[in-house]
Amino acid sequence: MTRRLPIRVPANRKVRFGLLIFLVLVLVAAFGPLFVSHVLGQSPTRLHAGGALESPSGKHWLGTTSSGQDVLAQLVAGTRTSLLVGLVGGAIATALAVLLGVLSGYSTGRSGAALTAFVNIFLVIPGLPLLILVASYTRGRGGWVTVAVIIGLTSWAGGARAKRAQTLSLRNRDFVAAAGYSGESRARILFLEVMPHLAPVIASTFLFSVVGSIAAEAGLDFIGAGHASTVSWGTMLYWVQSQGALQSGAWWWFLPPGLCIALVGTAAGLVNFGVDELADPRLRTRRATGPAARPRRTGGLTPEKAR
Amino acid sequence: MSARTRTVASVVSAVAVLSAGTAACTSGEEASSTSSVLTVAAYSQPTLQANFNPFSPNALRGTVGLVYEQLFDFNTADKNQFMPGLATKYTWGAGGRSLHLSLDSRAKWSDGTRLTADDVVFTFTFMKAHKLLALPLTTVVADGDGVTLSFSSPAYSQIQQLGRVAVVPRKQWANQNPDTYINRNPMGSGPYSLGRVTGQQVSFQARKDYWRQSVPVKQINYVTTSSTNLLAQQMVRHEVDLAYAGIPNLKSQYLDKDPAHNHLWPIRASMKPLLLNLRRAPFDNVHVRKGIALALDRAKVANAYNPGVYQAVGPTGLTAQSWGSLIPDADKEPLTQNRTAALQELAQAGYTLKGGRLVDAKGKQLSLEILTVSTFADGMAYAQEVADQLSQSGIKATVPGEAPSAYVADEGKHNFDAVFGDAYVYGSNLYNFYWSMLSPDSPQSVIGWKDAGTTAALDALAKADPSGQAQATQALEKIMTDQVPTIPVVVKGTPYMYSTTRFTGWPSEKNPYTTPDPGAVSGVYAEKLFLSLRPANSKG
Amino acid sequence: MGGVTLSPAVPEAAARSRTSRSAVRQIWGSVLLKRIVFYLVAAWAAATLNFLLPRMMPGDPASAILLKMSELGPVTPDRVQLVHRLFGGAASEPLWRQYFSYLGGLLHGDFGLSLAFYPTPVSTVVRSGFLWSVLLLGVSTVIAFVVGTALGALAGRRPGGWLDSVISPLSIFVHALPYFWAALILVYVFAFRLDWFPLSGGAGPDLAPGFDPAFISSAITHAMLPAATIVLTSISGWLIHMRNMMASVVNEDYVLLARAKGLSETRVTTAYAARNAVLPSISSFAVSIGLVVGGSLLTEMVFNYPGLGSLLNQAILNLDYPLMQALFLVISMTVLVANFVMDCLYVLLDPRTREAAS
Repeated sequence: MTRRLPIRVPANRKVRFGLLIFLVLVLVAAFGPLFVSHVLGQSPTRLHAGGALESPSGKHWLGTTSSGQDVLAQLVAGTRTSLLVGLVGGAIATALAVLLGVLSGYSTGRSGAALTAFVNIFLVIPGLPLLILVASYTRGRGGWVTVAVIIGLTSWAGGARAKRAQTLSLRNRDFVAAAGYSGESRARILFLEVMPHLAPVIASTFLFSVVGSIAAEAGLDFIGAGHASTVSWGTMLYWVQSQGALQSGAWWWFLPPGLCIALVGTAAGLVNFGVDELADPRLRTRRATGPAARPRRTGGLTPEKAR
Repeated sequence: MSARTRTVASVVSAVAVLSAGTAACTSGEEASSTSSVLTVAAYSQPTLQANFNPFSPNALRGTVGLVYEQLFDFNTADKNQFMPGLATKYTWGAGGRSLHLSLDSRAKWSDGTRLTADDVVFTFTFMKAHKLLALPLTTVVADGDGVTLSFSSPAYSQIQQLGRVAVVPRKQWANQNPDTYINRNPMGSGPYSLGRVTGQQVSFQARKDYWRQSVPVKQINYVTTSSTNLLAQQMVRHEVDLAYAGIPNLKSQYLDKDPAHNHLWPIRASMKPLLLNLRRAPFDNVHVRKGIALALDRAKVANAYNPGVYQAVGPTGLTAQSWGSLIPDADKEPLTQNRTAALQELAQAGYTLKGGRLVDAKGKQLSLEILTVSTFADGMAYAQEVADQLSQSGIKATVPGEAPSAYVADEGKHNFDAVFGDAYVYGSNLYNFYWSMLSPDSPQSVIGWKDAGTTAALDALAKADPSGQAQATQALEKIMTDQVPTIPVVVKGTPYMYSTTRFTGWPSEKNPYTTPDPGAVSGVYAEKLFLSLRPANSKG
Repeated sequence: MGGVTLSPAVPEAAARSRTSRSAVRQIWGSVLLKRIVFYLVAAWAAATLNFLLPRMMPGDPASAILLKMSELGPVTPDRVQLVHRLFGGAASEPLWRQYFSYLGGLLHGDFGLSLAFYPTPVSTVVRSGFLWSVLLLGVSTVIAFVVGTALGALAGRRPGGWLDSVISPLSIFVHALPYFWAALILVYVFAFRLDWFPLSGGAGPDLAPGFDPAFISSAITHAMLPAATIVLTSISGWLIHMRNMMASVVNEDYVLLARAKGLSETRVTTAYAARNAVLPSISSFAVSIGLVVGGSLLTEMVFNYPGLGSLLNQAILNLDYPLMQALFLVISMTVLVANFVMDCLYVLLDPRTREAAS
């Protein structure tokens, strides 16, 4: 469903804008480092590439850090690291969340109860502290991949819980119950009746898992439990904080990494706006007629006709 | 309907709580702005737990110095002068196997009773019984105007440790276990009694009946600051009078904000070498070590963070300012960076420069990872500068940066190529400096240096009487310059920072009456400092 | 986790006869009982996981602890035994015996001695930070939930309406701000520059914790910026969640029918649409508490707030596994309790689940 998004959705401006942000960030992550090193001649790790805390200039587009590193070069290198962590962590978390959430919500009897218990137990283990603990054991071994995998493995429970709740609610809806009475197989009901209604939740889980993974990685780096020599948005923020960039007036250093994290989250949120419409035909048809067709008391009663 | 009403109600009550808080803010600020309170950023951890047991490694700072007093110390920031505490004088006897301490007869506990030689005897006996003394102490007896200690071997080199023993009253401690006792109500002989303890501050109240003199600062608050960033903000706002943490951009972020009141005196009390793991090839090769030593521009390393706080150091590891008389002229100055000489040394170890990379016969590049704590901004900056300089000489040097716990674990397991983060304290006698760095028995000696000559030289220095210490020290200096077991790089400076807005009379470079290291928050150093301050407005 | 079994099923007869009022009360009672049993099982499972975790980790935490303890003071045989009981290690007893003495220790609140605050018992250390965190997180989470859900309901009532097109994108952006980054900005602007609030800490330094007005007002002042950070960054989560659910519920048949019946817009929104849309929000409330605890670790760090987050940070920096273990358990139990409360609420609000449960 998500794969078809770029072709289907552009009707919605917010979605288009969100996708555009993602596209730009992916392009930056893919080609940015090359551009920075070959065109601008900067490196994210080189000390004293310029003076300490230089404001933006033609040479250093985003100025320099207190150690004279080029902020733009760091930001670009950080984009690559952070996006990779987000995608890997988000994919693992979403896959686990869908699998365990839907199964635990739909299964009945002992197996359902056991799955629910399993999900709930993982739910009560607070993600970030656990992540920090495990990360302090792995001590940066395996670089960002380890971090991303740990994030994925520790952050699925919330999504699973949401999907379980949804499935639970759907299971008792009339149309599912009707399908059950009419003798459809459970697997068929699960995939044809329940899953489509979960699509918006799944899509939003993925997007927010990506954002959550990026934020978790940044949090880990921020407290210094990450891999300090990997340049990521998180390590940039760590140095921003420990070097007091804000008090020194170095906004060019303080703002970009935080804004980038916020930007990814915003893009995910914007895309999410369109995804629920896609999965919920009634929502989509009404929206397609534009905001002018504001629902009156009877406005939404004939969605099929509007189509 | 009712659901919505409830929502609105809770929003309203939340707003009410918020505005109540804002109103309270102003009144709270006024109450605490009294000029007789001195605030010290003494703890770098977020929260505190009460512990005023002077024998506990986790005793809160101020326990010793403000509440309990030490016997004596030496002013290492000046010329190692004797600084009296409870003891006014010490006299060696029996070739360093006996030490007589004369006690100040005026000393009193805070309950008004006399502090006697019996208490000192008790303290030493107590410490010995609980294995808290790393000294060859055999007996301790009351004797004349004080006590006499006897040792099984000459104890000259341990004089500073002896002086730093904090004396406790027999009546309170006789039945205590120093290992578990938290001591919430300490009774000491020092100028302050314990005030209120909260999770983030310990306050000390001046004693009106302090035996030595009247106490000029009525209250001292030792506060916690979890980050240097926060500390910098507190200092700019003059919420803190004394601090010694390495805040970033110290000059622009602190000194320049109020040049009339904000001051800095870097206290250089320890040496930070580049430690190579001598268990690993090729670092076991002295030519590799010498080559790396020659590839470094030490002044540039020292200035990689907060210029002026650290200083380049000579190949013996000693500074010419403090130890000049002990160092041969040739070794007084720091090694100058000399890439040609470095390459020659490395060539003797089989490394040649090819295409900017220093490779061995098999074409493998000389590489090292420098272990450093990633969360220490200053440490990372210095280590990265070292790595940068080595890289320019064709050595592949990287700084992975680890969490503090991982750093300790890796260092403890000798799982590193190089370490740049540990520093070795000079003290008043260089035996401990060299022993902790080079002796295989020292827990801080992580390099794996095992050398009979070094052990013999350390042994000689341990037993040397004051007149023979220079010669014994020079034997160790020669080991440092010839065999380079560690590569001395910089003298570590503690940025002792103080504000004269509320109090004056601070020790300074011009008037170094005490050693503010670390930050003079404990011991004789702190006591001397706090007893020398005066409120700024009374200056006239 | 293999041992997780759930409470016995509710008697079927009770489920069928749900016409009478007493029967409903009976169902509710048994649902409650079932929940209680489940959460006891979950608490046990969390404790067990806490037991297994240090034993599964590489690097033998027990020997690391003993090494560190030896630097702090003499290590007596009973302390060695305690460490092995809590963390395993080579020279220890069989696993099942360690496990039972571990559980026994937990019941007595015995977590050993903290290394960072040696020789203070871990339980004392945890107690010192518990109330700070729970109050800060509890109050800010409730504020964020209530305000966020209310705003989300308003925005989702008319997807594409003016309110929706202003609030929603804005909240998405705010939601995406990293906790600590927002905290840094708040400290800089409101504490450092404007001087409206204190820079850090939990209360005025000269005040002893207690029920006196000076302390309470000081504590509220100090909590203001940390709480604002948590509210600001978590409010949008509720808002977006509620808005999305509301947007899909608002055209459900029963809502349309309610409108068609001529019920007032307010009543349709609150009693029909919002009541159903809020269910997933409630079910994720407890999850959010877990997340917010994580966020608070970072927020507390920026503000030097004396809560569990700062303690956890200190535990990690000092390799204080006993403290870490206890903190995990305490945080997990807190989340469990929150879970339980919200689950009860969920059952109350969603009759379908109530039926299914029986």
